[in-house]
Parts: sequence; C-alpha cells; structure tokens
Amino acid sequence: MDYILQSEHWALSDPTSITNLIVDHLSLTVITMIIGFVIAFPLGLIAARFVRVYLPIITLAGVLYTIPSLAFMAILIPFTGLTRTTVVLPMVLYAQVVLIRNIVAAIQSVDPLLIEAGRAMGMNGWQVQREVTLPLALPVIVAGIRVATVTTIGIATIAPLFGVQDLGYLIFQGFNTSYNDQVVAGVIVVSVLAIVVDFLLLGVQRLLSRGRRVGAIA
Amino acid sequence: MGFLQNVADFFHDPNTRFAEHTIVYLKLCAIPIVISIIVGVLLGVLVARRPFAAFIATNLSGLARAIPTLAFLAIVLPYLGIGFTPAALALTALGIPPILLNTIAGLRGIDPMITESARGTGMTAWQVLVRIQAPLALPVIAAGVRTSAVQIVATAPLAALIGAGGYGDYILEGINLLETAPLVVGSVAIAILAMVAEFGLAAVERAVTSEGLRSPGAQRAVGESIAVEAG
Repeated sequence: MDYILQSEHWALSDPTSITNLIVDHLSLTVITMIIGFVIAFPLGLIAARFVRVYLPIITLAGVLYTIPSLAFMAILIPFTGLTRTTVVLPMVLYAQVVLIRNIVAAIQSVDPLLIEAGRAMGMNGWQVQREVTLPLALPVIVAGIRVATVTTIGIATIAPLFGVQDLGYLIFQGFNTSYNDQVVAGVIVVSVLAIVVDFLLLGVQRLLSRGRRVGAIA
Repeated sequence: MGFLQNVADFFHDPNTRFAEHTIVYLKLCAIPIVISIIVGVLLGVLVARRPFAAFIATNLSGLARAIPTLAFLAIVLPYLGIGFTPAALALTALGIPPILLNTIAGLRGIDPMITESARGTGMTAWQVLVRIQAPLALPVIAAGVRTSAVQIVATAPLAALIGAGGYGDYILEGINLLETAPLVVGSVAIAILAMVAEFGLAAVERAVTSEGLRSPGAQRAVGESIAVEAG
C-alpha cells in the first residue's frame, strides 16, 4: 500500500505519477468511446429500422469481439507499430457489439403508440425521431455506453505493452522491477477507476430514466 | 511469400516448442473453467434461496466484473509469486462471477407457481430440483459458463506475464523483438481457440435448452451474453 500513499507518486510534474496515468487512462478511454459511438450510432439507427441489416452487423461485431485483446493488438503491430492506433482500433471495434445492440434495443423498445401520438401532433419523421424516440431511448443507450466504457477501461490496462502509457504502466513496471507495491497500486487504482466510472454512469442512466428501470444488454 | 516462409520456419523450429505451449495454454484454460463451474454453480445453488445472501453475491459479482482482467493476474504475483498455479488461480477467480450471477438469476427467475405445482403433484425437493428447476435454469447457467469460459480463454495469454507460459509467450517475444512470425502465430492460435470456445459453448447452450423453452426469438447472437444487472 505504501506506493499509493506516498505523495511523490501523485506529483503532477512526473509523467508516470498516478495522477498523470489516470489522465492518460481516461483520455484513452474517452477517445475510444467517442470514436466508437460515432460509428455505432448511425449503424444502430440503420439496424433498428432494417431488420435484415441487423443480423450481419451484429454477427460481424460479435466475431470481432471474440478475438482476445492481446491477440488483436499484437496482430496489428506489423501494420501500425507500437502506436495509439494499435491500442485504440481494437477497443473501438470491441465497443461496437454492446453499443449497437443497446441502441437497437433502445429504439425498438419505444412504444409505437407514442410515436403515433407524435405524428398526430404534426411532427415530421425527423422531429419524431428527435423529440420522441431518442429521449425515450436514451437511458438504454447510456446503459450500453456504461458497459462499453467499463470494458474499455479494463482492456486499456494492457496498453503499455504496446508502448502506450496509462495505468497499466504501474503493473508492468512493477513486474519488471519486482516492485510489488507498485503492482498492487496499479491494480487498486485501475479497479477503483473502473468501479467509480461504472457508478457514475449508472447515476446518469438512473437520472435519465426518471424512475423507470432499465438494464443494459451486454 | 517471405512472410509465410517465416511463419512456416517458426513452426518447424524446435526451439519454439509449439506443442508444449499448446498443452500449457489448454491446461491454463481448462482447469480454471472446470473449477469455476463447480464453485460457481454450487455457490449459486446455495445462495439462490436466501434473498440476503443472493443480494450480496450478486452485487459482489457485479463489482468483480468491472475489475480489469489484468488486475486479477497482477494481484496474485506479490502474494503467490510467478508460475502456472498462481495464474490458474487468478483465472479461476475471474471465471466464477459470471457463472455465480447466472446460476442465481436462473434459479430465481423460475416462476414460483411452477415449483409450487410440482410440489403439489407430490414431487420431493430433490425431484423438483432435478426435474423442474435444473432444466429451467440450465440455459441461463450455460450462458454464464460461456461468458466465463470465453473470458478465461481471452485472458489466459496475459498469464505469460506472470510466467505461466502458453501462447502469450509468443506474443511477448514478438513485441520485445518486434518480430512478425511469433506475433502472428501467437495471436492467430489464441483467436482460433477463443472462437472455438465461443461457438462451441453457444452450441452447448442450445443443446441444454429443453425443447419446450426453445423459440426462434430465444436464440442469441455470437458474443452475446445475458447481463444480470446488479443494483
């Protein structure tokens, strides 16, 4: 436990301090989630409307999801080297299954009567989508984002193997120098980070669902 | 075709010990999967009837699933050292929560009316468990086993980091030397095993779903698992 408690390991001036590694870890996660969502959202909208597109998209995403992260990133090295791309690309692809499935489920779970009501009020297709469907679908979409984000935080831990710095650095550096305190520090900080983010996003999800119970489809 | 030649050479090179690494990797996956099934199902059956214990187990397992898989492997190192056994233990710890969660969910998801009427027809508690509860809960438990097995197979290569051997050794070697052949052989072998686990267990899941429970809509896509929301 000593490693975590020593204030020098939190100093902002040290690029490998816990504080800076948390920032690195979160930025890696946020980049992945933004790119992932930008891809998944239109795919989800299309898949929700056209049933025939859903199965091929979700099957492909599912097959990619099955490839273990270490293997996926390793096979990219000959092409992209030891760069951020090698780490972020697989994580973006992994996020697709959960995101797309939840976006589709969210949109399909909206009561058609409400959409009808929107139409009857004189809304056009775009307005119904924006004013009725998406607000109602939002909690389930956020539930998907939550699951995908926590998964991404976990996978990102192996990034230092591919030359990208984040909290995993503490674990690998500790391995290499047999500095057990550092390994334990890495494990604790990264686990707490994942759990805290999980709870925060659960809070957002609850806030958006205004009392209705929603679960993610993982 | 220099690259394929490299891969072929890598296979034929006695120093790469492909067969040996394969056996280690299979053991590293199989032993934790079997133990986590036994522990997860037993614990789940014990806990499912007690609401408070089930609540604790469900939330703890939910929490455990948020913890990065590398953390499970890393945390055994300071206390148990390096090698096969610590790695297998870490993988077992990783494999239990999904099975435990789904066993509880599977058993608690059964309509009490069904078990009640089974009792009413004169079945003993044991018969209710074997003839009614088991077939109804089995598909959900099998889904948990699939999630856990795929996770173990996917995390097992990282066990090379704590000296357990297996295919992970090739990848670490490939990264350190920036050599393509070990990277490709290692990752393709790992990916194939992960696919076999996923598709094989999906088939098992279908097989253990009793005929009356099968419906076209009940089939789940690859990579899909039943998420049990904690809290």
